Amino acid sequence: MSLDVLERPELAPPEPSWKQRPKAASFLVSLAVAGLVVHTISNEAVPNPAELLDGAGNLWDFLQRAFPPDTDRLVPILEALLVTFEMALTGTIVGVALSIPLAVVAARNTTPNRVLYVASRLLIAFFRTVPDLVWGLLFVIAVGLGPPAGFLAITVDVIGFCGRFFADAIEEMDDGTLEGLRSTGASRTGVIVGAVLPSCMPSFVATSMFALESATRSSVVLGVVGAGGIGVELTTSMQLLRYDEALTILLAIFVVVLGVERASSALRKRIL
Amino acid sequence: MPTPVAVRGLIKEYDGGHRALDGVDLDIAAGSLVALVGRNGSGKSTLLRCLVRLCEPTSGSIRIGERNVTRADRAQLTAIRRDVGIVFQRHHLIGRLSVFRNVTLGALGRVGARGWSSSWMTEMDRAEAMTCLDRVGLADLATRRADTLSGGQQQRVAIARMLMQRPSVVIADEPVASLDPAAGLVVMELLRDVAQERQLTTIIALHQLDYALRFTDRLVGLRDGRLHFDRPAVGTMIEALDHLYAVADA
Repeated sequence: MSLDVLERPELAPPEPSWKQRPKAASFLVSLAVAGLVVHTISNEAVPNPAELLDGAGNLWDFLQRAFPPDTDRLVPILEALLVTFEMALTGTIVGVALSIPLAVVAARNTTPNRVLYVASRLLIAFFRTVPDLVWGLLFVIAVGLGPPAGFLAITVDVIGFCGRFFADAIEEMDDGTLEGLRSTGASRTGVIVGAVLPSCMPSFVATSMFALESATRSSVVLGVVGAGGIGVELTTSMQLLRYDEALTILLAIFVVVLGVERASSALRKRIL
Repeated sequence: MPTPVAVRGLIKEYDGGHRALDGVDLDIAAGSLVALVGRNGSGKSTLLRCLVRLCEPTSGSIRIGERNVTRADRAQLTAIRRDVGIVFQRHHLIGRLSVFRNVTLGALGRVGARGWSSSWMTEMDRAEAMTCLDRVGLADLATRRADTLSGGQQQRVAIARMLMQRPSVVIADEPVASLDPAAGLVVMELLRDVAQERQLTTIIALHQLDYALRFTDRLVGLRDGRLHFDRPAVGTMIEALDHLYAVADA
């Protein structure tokens, strides 16, 4: 085989990417990132080795005082944990249910019109960009301390998450399949309910399971801002320096979160 | 009841000024089986898509039976589409749904909300779906996922779905283009047989001239968006059609 490339420069293969000069935009972005990292370090936002060593000592002190875990208040702790899980589960179910119609409107191939498409995408983006903790604070102001605020925060957070991924799943559907069904004279609703949603169901279930995992973790943190559940118990124990009781709570949370993750993973594997 | 199709002065100009159809006149008798032949880009698919306004004609008129397709409003167009079954090159089944469910989707326009789920359909609807599947020889695969079937089997399911629609006109856009010769033969035989049994007016876009001669009544040749010839299939020799595929300006 003759290697024409040696004699014909126009057949020379392109330079590997690492040999090419960086583009101006890439160079500027890299420079900006490096500048921010240096600024963060100079502001002492990153612990230095001495602080890390101190921190490790404090953590060791906490662990010594936390062992053995105190199970005297196990029943109220488990009750609070149940409230937390119920808050996560109900918030996820309601959030998923509301996400489905929103996603249909927010998907380019099923939206009734451009205005609704943009409006629904903006709403989803807004729900997504505000952190769940902030939603928790807002709903505590709106409906007062306790699980209802947590439920609402999780519902909104799930809509932001599921709405976006459900809409993306619908948009990934083959245009030809939709056209094929529309060409049978089926109504828009008929095509969506009869074909689009069943077709996207595995993706919806997998996304919903991720949302439940995330909601279970969030629901613990939401308690810290007064949105009810186990987070309230954990904050109280930590503030009263009852680390042995706090450890019991942390272990209970660990078991529940791990259980939800395992169950979710098993279900996803079965469906996909 | 067999339905005729009439096309008059049909022009389709895409954005950018490319004229895919340039004044096509065509009459297709009720219950006849017509092959549209021509090179890639000759306007076959555009013509078929214009028949049910999957792409909007620029000018001209189309009538299917008594109904004016080009002047139909949204509701009328939906009604017209219910009467026209389409078989695409890529069957467009929903892969993760069962073969049976895919077939029942053919009735989605006809039966309304009860077609949204196969379990909401009546026993008669469900029996009809199985009859359609049996007609294409795939009743034993009813519970299989559609994406586990071979290309030829999937195209037969698409035909069963089309039958479930109960159309009076069928358009098929290169239905065997992605199939091997054996599977293509089965699909073409099936299309011809169901068209004859149900007296369906059938228009098939094809590249395989031998299939066009063997399975259809009439050949309509398109070239550069214009009608190039229109002749009966019987008595036509394949060599007589070679000029259709000759390179322009050759």
